[in-house]
Amino acid sequence: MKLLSLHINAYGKFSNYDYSFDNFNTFCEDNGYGKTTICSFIKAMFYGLESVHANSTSFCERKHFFPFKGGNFGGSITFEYKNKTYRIERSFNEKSYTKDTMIVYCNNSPTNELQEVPGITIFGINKESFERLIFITSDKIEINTNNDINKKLNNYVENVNENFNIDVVDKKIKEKKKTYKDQIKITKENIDSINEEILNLEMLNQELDSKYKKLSIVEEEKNQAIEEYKKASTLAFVIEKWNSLDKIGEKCALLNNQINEIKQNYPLELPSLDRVMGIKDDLDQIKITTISLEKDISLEQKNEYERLKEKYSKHLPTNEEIDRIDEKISSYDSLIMEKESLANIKYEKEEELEKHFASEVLNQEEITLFENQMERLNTLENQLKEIPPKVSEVKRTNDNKHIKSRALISLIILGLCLLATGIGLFFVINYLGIIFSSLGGVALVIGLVFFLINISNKNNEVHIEKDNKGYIDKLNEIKDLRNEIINHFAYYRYNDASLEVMLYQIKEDSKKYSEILNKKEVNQEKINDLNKNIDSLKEELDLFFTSVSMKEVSYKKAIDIVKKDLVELSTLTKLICSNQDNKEELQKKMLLLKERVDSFYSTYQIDKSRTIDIIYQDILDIYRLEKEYQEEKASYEEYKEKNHLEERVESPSLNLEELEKIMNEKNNSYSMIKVDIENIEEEISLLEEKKVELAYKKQLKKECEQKIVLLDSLKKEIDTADQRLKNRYISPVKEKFCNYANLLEKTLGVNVEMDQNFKIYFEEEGALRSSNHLSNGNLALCSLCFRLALLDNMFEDELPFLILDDPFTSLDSKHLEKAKELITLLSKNKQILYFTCHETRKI
Amino acid sequence: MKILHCADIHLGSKIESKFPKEISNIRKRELMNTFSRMVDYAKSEGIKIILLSGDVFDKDKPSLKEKEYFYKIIKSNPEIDFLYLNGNHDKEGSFIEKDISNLKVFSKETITTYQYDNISISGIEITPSNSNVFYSRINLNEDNINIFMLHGEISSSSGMDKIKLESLKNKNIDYLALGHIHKRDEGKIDERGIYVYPGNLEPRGFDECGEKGFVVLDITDKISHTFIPFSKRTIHEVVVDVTGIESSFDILMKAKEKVKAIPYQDILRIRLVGELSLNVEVDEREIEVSLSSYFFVNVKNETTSSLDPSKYDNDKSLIGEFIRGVYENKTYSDEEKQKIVAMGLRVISGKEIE
Repeated sequence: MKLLSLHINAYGKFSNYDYSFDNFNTFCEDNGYGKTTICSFIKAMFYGLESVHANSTSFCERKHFFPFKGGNFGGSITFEYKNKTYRIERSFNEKSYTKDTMIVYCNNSPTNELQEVPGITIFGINKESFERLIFITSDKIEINTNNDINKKLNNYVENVNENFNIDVVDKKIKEKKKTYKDQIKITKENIDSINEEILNLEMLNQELDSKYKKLSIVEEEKNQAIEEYKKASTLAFVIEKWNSLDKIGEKCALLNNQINEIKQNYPLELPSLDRVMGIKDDLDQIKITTISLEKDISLEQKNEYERLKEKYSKHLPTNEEIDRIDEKISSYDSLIMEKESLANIKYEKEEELEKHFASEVLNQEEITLFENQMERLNTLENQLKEIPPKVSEVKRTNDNKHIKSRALISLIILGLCLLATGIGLFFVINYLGIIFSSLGGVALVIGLVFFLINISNKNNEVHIEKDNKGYIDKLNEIKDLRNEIINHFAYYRYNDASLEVMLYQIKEDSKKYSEILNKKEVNQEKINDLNKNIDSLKEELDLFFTSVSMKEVSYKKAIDIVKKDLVELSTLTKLICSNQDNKEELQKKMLLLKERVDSFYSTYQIDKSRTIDIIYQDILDIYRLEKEYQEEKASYEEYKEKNHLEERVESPSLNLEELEKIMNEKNNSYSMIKVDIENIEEEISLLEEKKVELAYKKQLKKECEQKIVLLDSLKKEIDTADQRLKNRYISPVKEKFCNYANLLEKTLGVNVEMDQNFKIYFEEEGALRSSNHLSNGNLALCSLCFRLALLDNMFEDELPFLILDDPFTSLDSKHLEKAKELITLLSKNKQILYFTCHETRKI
Repeated sequence: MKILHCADIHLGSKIESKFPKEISNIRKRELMNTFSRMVDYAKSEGIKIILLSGDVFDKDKPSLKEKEYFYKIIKSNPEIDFLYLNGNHDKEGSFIEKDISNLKVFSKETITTYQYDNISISGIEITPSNSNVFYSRINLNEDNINIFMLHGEISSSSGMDKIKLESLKNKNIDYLALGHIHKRDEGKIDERGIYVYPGNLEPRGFDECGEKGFVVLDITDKISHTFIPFSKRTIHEVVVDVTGIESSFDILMKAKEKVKAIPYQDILRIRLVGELSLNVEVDEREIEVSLSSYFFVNVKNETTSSLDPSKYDNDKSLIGEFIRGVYENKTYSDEEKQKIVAMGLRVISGKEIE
């Protein structure tokens, strides 16, 4: 591969720039010439330019080398490759590579042989690797250790992490393997443990079958026990019913016995209740009659009878008399009451009027006197009103003539008339108008002057007043009369009002008091009449009560005692009389009744020791018992029918308690087995879970094992790749390096070697020293040899050009000369583009 | 008359292998509850017969609690007849309670028939001994509406857990009430009859996606049937092709976009498929956490590496050497090669090995 020429349309500071390449090309220019631009252009031709990213802070060639002076951004490069001449023409957009254009010509014909990125097709490396490999600067070459060589070698050829280190990779794989091995170990333990658990659970599961069978048997037994209990319980229930029925039957029998027992006392038949009631009445009558016969009046009654007889021996009042006396007492009481009420009548304002008039009524004369006095007083007061209390006189203070007002007013009116006439005439006859007006004005002025004088004179008058004697006399007369009247009123205790009011009051009160006195007089007359009647009645009543030996204060009480006594006396008298009359009749009745009773006992052949009350009770008892018996019997039948009690059942062999006990035992036993089964089921419900877990763990173990196998394979493959890389690149590199080192030895006089581990040594004073002891200049040259060796091995057929960007800045003049010699030597079989900014380093 | 046909309830099913333990426990309870809800539904709709076409329980020996739960529901609904055919999971039927008048079972020896007016419901439990011969014993009255219950998979041959459809032709079957296949399915037997798998009642794992429920038969002079979706939750499998996506965030966004129409109460299985470049790391857990609003989400990464080894043929670096070395080694499977390369690229670039 060889560059032939380049043409820059516009790229950075270059425009329309051409350059033809030789085998060795030296660009010795000052800083700022554009060496970097040319390098960038060559690279851009083979690899293109990256798009401009808005947010990118890194160096962007597209942006940096956009033509300073404008023009078509791009150009072409012509080169030989596999014995053909190619030309790559590119045009770059300002920002995006998608808008770039590229045409590749092969022997002047467009071709796609070099594909999208010609650099990759030609060199087999990407842009970054191209930069690392083809560009040699003074600061990029560094060789230190074995690993670094390896690392650098990789870095040069592919975009591998800068920290790649086969030892680190080995370590990571080893660590990962250990992780998996640990995991396998743990998983294995888990698997063993789970297996054990599964084994246990399966054993439990197997036990379950027998438990189920046992449960089934116990369930059967339990059901049987429940059945038996139910059956026995039903039987017990029926027996209980029969017992209840028997109790009702027993009650019936008892009642029947009681009935029969009573009936035994009545051999023929049981008498009817009516008949017994009749006999009972007869016996009662006998009893009453017997009592009546045996009965007599008592001593107290006799004594009382005697006392009353004695008391009323003088006079025994009849009922009519008593009634009449009673009426009289009532009349007496009412008269007394009437009298008291009349005596106690109080009239309105009676007491007040009594104070004014003290039982002395004002007569008409006195009233007339009052009225006359009042009339006279009014007359005097009216007369006084007409008499002026003062008499006045007027006196003037000067002698000015007083002109009469009427004359003045007439003069002023005349003046006004003349003035008006004058004004009126002034429009008809001028002179007459003026004359009249003048006359009117004069008259008016004179009138006004005199009017003012009059006013002035009026202000000079003096009035003098004196008391009127007639008036005073009249006034005294009124006072006297008034005092007289007041005194008169005061006599009757009227003094708190005006004379007119007092006159009115005294008249009214006198009239009212007169009426009251009249009424009282009438009442007194009535009272007198009543007293007469009362005295008469009192006399009569006193006479009566004296006749019956009564001296009671209250007539009412006295008459009541009399009444009571008379009733008592009448009763006692009747009693004493009738006692004697009835005795015979009662004895006859008694015999008849006894006959009827005897007949009853004999008719029914009842033992006479059985009293009629017992018989009566017997009948009632039989009625009650028979009723009860019927009810019980009905109840018996109803209960029997209701409970379907037809045949008696036998009692179960075991009693209910025992059966219940058995049933509970079976139930408990069933529940226990059930709980046991449920617990086992609960436990073995984990079986499936455990199996899944086991499978999972096994899978995990398997995966770990597979991963270990994969990791082994990975390690093997990476080691192999590493070895291959070494075999492919580093061993030849070592070989080539040795060749270049020989050249170095020739030029520098230093023997440089690379050992099996790619470590660089140099011989100094008979001893091999590590590259650390090399001077910077020698190290740079070693590095250059290493790079050349690398290139030789990577590109055997089509060796690419080499760009040396001032790589020898750190060499002294002696080493620089040697380096120049080396480069010159090398340029025989390599195309070199050598850039330097200093003439001393120019080759 | 209305009849409810359900199957494969799998009461007491352990769902641990499909979900995390806490989710499994919830689902186990939901499964039990859905059965109860189904019976309530039947009650409210006036359905008098419920056909249980096998695998009511998940295992031969269900726990006492599960059995009690089942029998309590049956006993508390005496107006509904439960026709219970054992399946392959509960084939022993070892603990059928006695004296439950509304629980009707089927024998494995003979074909049992229950008659409801002109509707006859027959069935037999398939066993190794009868699996080939029971076909010939089917004798159904042509004038009746005949429902036949079986538990097995439709097959061209007969045998245990197999139903040879050919042998059921012209047997006067109107409705073959099947169980065993958890995915809803139906088809014709012959001119007269159809077969129906209602599918299971509640999905139990990611292999049971889609609507789950039961079938309601409306029988007049003929049978019409309707599928009633009834499960508490539905499992959805969503395939997300992430080919060419350059970041794990974009993968998450695409997955979210794909599942946005699915209700949160449901269960999701997201399968990431397609080719991803080696530098794109798929974080399944991150996607699962981001979609935690759903009842449960499982992300399965089935993507493949888009690495083209031929691109490294001329690569002169260690990576080139490494990739060539791995791909040239014939002792590795493709999967192993991908894994080794992925690990190698990480470790060479200084990252930790996953």
